[in-house]
Amino acid sequence: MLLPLLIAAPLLAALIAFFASGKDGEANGRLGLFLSLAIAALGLPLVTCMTDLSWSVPWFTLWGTPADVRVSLASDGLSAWLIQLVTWLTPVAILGARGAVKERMRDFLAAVFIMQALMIGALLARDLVVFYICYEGMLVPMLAIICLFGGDDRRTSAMWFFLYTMLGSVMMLVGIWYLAAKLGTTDLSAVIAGVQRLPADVQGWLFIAFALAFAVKVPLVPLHGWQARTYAETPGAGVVLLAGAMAKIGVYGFLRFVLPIFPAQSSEHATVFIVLGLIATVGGALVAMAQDDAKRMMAYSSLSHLGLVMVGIFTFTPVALNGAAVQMVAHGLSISALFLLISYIENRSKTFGLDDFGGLITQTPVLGFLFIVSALASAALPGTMNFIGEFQILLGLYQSGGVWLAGIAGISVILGVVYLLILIQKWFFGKARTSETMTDLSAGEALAVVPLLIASFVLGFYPAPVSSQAGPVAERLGASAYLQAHPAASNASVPTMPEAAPAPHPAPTVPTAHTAP
Amino acid sequence: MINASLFSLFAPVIVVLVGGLAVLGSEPFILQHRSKHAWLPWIAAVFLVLAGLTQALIPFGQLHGIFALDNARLWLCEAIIGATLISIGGLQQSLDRDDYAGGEPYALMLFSAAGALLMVMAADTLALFVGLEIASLSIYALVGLRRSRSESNEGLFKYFVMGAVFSAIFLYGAALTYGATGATHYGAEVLAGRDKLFLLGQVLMFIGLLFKVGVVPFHFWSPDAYTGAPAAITGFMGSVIKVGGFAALGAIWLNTAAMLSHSHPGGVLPLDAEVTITDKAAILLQPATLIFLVLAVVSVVLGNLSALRQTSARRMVAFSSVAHAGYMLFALPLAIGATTGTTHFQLGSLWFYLVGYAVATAGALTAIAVMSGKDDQGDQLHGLAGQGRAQPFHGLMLTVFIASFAGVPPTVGFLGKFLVFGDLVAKGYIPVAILAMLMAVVGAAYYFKLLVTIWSAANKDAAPAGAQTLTRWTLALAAIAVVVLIAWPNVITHAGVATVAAATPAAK
Repeated sequence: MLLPLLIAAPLLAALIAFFASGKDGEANGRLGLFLSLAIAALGLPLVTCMTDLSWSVPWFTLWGTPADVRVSLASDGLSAWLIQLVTWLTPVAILGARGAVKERMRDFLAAVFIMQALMIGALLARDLVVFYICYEGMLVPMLAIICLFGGDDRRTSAMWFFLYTMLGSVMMLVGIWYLAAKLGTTDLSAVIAGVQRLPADVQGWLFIAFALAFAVKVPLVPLHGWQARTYAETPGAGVVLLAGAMAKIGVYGFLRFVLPIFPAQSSEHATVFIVLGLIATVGGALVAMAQDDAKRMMAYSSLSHLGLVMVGIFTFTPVALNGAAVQMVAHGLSISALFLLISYIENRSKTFGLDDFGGLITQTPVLGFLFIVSALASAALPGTMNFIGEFQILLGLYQSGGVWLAGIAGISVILGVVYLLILIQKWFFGKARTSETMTDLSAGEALAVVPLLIASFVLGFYPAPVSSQAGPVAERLGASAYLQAHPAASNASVPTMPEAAPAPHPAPTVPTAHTAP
Repeated sequence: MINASLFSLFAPVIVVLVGGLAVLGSEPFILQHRSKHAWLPWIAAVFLVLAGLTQALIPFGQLHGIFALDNARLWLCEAIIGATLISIGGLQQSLDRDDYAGGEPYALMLFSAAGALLMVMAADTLALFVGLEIASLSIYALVGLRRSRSESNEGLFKYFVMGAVFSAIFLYGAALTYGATGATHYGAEVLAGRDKLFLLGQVLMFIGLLFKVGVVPFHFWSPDAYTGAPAAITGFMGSVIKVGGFAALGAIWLNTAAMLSHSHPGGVLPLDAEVTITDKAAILLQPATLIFLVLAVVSVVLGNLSALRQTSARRMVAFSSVAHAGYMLFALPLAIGATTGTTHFQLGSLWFYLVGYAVATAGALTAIAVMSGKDDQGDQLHGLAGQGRAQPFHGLMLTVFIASFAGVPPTVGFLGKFLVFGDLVAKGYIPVAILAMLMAVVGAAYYFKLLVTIWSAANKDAAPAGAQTLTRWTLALAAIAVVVLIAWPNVITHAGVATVAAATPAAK
């Protein structure tokens, strides 16, 4: 019962927030903070004592097919850790939003909670239809946040965001219908088992349809056109959810759906994704260096980091998959901290251009210190969680593609340090560009960022909770693709982390025993 | 289906008609215009709620093969009653605000709804025609409500003349079908040697009905009629008349398919029945399937692309309703492999789509009626700008309904599209489904434009609105329905679905 409750609780919170008093932004902010912390506490058992839950009730029968759609939810290590990311980033976003949304906190809270419910739903869903509804539904509250609180160019950027994601996911919808019609089920584990019966070319088309939907959300080059402009126009607190959590669901989609359902196609086209991922990771970092405003720079930085994760995933090596799971959480923490800090600066001076400030460290020592620490975390300083994740991914790249693959990908890590240092150097050191002085962070603002950094460092020194819960799940999800890519590899010789041997053959992680009628 | 008593089957229709008469009867006794618009809509609303409750309570059955009630028909009737209730609220807004002298529009709306109820319950072409005319004649009067405005007169004239012509075409088709079958019931057996006559009759009947639902190329009246009518009437036309028209279209098509396949000999076929199509019938029906597909594709493409260019909200909705008619028409084609073996055919997705669409359309245009001010002058996009901020409740309601139009989850519009297109894929028309989905994205773009306009422009004064209590309640209920209905899609047509293998016995 915890799983449906986790989806219902944010919806209830949205209702409470919406019917709370309209004008008093401060009080609404406190209410939202309280509600979101309560939800986060509710989600905590998923990683501590109640791992591997599942829940399923019948919903409806798809006409014209024998497919019974069930609302089936399940959590495992990967889902649970990404849900932690979602639930704990929400209070952070609410804390960080107070300066930007002011008295319209009520609308912001309603949108954020609805989005939270849908993100949790997407992470828990083990039925394609339920997943699609949550996945597509996330668009609406996100658009509301952009349109209500965004910058001057919000209409255009919202439109781009909307069209890209809609166009990306319609093909997946057609694919889901096809699967329902031919296999008579939309349950994930039954689809994984049944999809092999379909003709190979059809499987290829379905693979493209699914991969396209998730590639837009990640985003993967060349489908990243919406990203920079949307991040730039979205208020910082909104980007926390967009970049910190929502983009991860795209990567999650690859892990949860694409690799297990289409192992043969995934391994067949792995080169394409690795090349696109490399372009994203190196190109994104290079483009980030050329940006003249901080939000766009962070957008391309996000493109670069998630590109690396995608490369890691498509090597299918257990080490890289484990690293991908770690890096998803790590990147969620660090990019959120950076975007929040940028939004604080934006709230103070209405601008976030690279050349607009200088010497801020003397005026705002706390902000400067936190920014530098966050930047170092994002640049994978040893001791942070990002280091663990990127190290594992690079190790996996070395195992599967040799020194060249790892070397090219490694360039992006170095470039990642470069553009962040450029930003820090321009903003926090050197001469002041304006005569206006900036006030330092208030306690509340700092409080939103500090926990993210603490979490990043604690999990950096002791990554076991993530890498032993989320990691093995990611490894299992990629196992069948790995066996397709390395047919010679028997179970024993799969290079693996010691604690996690991949299961022998398609090992759907879904514990639900439900199969199609 | 069991035989029903006359009274029980018609109880909801009678309640609606009595409501109309009550409105007409009490109208002369209320002297002030203002008071008319304060009281009459509430009388109408009370009778509609009563009709809705009656509808839910009466037993299923049929009356001499002329009228019938089954699960799908029940829900379509409820959708008509609900959409009328919402539109009554919108009508109160418009008339109150425009200081309209008289209360007869409320009665006309109820009479039209009664006609649409008869169209849904009809199982006989003549019964259908009576319902069609009752519904249409009242609608003609409602479209021309703003007598002094030229675009209103233009819309009325086009709609009336064309409506009369197509009614005649439908009636001629019904007469030819009677000549070919010797009966006016849906799905009556064709007499020996009269196949050609039957074909001609069917084609003419379908043309008449396709006009009523506004499918390309029979859609040309809809932009003008939709723009000429007050926004609330537009919502009523787009929902109630469409439900009636599509119910008739689907029922006749389903019955013809069943008759040619000999799968349901005798009796009245429930709308949610699953028909087993034989090879012979599939070959005979292949051309019609193809025509439906082509018309649907053309409607969807033309409707969406035209709507993209509109600046008037009502005109945009008019073209989008052409597109939606196309989406619904996608439910009609038979499966592609139908000629290679027996297949099952049912229209569950159409009925579900129709119910959701009716509620959302009536709701959306009622909300637009509130926002667009006196005489719907502000119905242009720039006139609506910022109204969401000025009237947050109605803005939120409009957002829910428009999201349902655009097919964004979690709304009933999403599930409707999901089911119709899913059905299409299951039947084997994958490229068509992909095209339809892409067009749905185009549709989403202009719906999005509308929403961005009402929400993100600078604050300005709220458009003048009329009495709001009724609108607020009905819109809130409709918005809840639009979201909640996705939980139980199988309720609407559950008979045909529960047993996939065994065809439902038609009657006894």
